[in-house]
Amino acid sequence: MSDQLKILEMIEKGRITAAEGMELLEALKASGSGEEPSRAETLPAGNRRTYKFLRIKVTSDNKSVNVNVNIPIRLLSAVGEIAGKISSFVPKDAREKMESGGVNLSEIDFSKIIDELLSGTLDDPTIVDVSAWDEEHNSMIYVKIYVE
Amino acid sequence: MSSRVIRILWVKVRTDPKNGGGLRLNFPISLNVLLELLDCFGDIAAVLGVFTRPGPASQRFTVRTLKELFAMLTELVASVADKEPYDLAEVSDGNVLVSIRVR
Repeated sequence: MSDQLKILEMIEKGRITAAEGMELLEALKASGSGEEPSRAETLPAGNRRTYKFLRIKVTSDNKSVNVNVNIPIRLLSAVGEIAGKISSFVPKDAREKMESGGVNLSEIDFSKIIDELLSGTLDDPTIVDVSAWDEEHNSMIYVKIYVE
Repeated sequence: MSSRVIRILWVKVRTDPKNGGGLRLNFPISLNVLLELLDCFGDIAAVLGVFTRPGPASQRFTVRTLKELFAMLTELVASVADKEPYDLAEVSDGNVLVSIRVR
């Protein structure tokens, strides 16, 4: 049973007040013992996979578009290291436009996303698998991003 | 004797690929040469930084930014070179085919 659950049960049974419980939860959070270990730490080493490439494939029914990009994982880790710096090069107007659309670059933790890929602990190596109708070319467009 | 593997970034541009005709352009770029060039440009930017006056804090693009940019590019190009040859990108819109291969 986790520590948080124990505290909640103590509040429920009336052993401690809600305010005391809150204090205990905050203390637990500050000590870091309430944090769950990351998936990479809990998963046995044998279950981890070593990926070599991040593959991006964009295809269409009538072959009007064909994009095939293979990004080495090593390049991805280099991108992760400099992702924070890259976002500072985005012009202010473009940043504002993205924020108005609900995309805040400073809130995206690129290194965490890349760490998940590098650790090889993904349940499903397919990250993106979508299809959409392209009115310009009158065909279905398929986008698939996966690690291999 | 140098044990450094020579990697070439091979950029191919081909027009009208469906009919087998059109224009074919090949740009072989040595990754080692590119890395050396970027390294040199980084050093030049560092020297420029010594002789240029620091601009106002509001200035977006400074010599220091340029130096950082070259350092980032060097890191990216270095990580493109893998142990084995591979196809980095292949983009086609039906009329033009662009492929970038690491050989």
